[in-house]
Amino acid sequence: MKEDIYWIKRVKNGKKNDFSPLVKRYKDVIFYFILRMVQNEEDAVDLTQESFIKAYNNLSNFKEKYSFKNWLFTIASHHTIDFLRKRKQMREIDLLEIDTDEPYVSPIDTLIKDERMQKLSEEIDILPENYRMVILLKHEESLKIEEIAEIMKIPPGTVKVWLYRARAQLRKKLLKKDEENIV
Amino acid sequence: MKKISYKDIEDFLDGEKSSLKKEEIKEDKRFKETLELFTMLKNLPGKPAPRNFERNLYRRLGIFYFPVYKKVLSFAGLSVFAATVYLSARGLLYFIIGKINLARIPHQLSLIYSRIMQLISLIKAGNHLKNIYLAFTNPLLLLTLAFVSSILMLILIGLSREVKKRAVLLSRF
Repeated sequence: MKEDIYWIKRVKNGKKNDFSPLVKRYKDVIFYFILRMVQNEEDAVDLTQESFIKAYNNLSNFKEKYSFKNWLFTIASHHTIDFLRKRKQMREIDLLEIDTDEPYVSPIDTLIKDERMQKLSEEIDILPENYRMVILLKHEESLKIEEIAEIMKIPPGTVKVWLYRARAQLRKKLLKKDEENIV
Repeated sequence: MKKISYKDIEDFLDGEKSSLKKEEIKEDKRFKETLELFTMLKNLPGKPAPRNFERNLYRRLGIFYFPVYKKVLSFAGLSVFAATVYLSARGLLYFIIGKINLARIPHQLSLIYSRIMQLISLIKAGNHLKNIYLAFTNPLLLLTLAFVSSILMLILIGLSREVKKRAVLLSRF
């Protein structure tokens, strides 16, 4: 946190190259978060880069009493939501023209060996976007409910409800999978 | 015993305000399920950003990017260069020191002085030759020189004849 502020001050003072330690520190977490949200590596790379560019261009608006990581996640999540909205609209138009669609295989799923973990990963990918986002921010980034609420600009109560519903959905699917395996 | 809901367990695991105690719920089936789900969610494998991510980002931002491997290569290259220069200079110094003999120092110094003087003489001669060349390239100067030198030659011839006559006269005495 203090280190982030140190680098941010340097960038604000005109040392542009000092933005690179911040990129190095957060590029993987932001990329992974966006990748899980958009489920396409090329889009994830673009969105991650655009999020960093936005952060860089608006660094003068960043208040040093806040966490840079959370601020970056706010930018990334809003940018991702905008992208998902646009893509949804595009897909709706596409669906009018094409009836069938190739089943999507997440690049992350190929990495997962364990069957249950793979199932969980698949289930996360098919969660509604808002549920998926709160799950990722809560469990991958270990953020507090209040922090997630701040990032997503929603009340903490809503975050709790979405988290509860998302977990219930995941738990249900996992139990179903376990039962299938026993049978 | 009161029935514990998933929500209570999740609140407890999320660190929210809860009346539950771990000792009370650790054997509960729901607690075990929720704990397992939380652990699995936490342990989902990550995926790093692609290798050229930073390079492309810095290009878009207009930031100078110098990757680590280039830094290492540059440092190694500069180290090798510095070591070569240092070793060569040290070898040269030892070679010169080995050649120097205290008894021969005055002789060496006088030799160096004479060489320098030779060099200066050469430069002077070169300068003189240059002046002569310039004189010959100037037609007016050339004519003047030819005129003066021909008169001088005539005078010299005349003088030599006179000397010969005088010599003959003198030999008669």
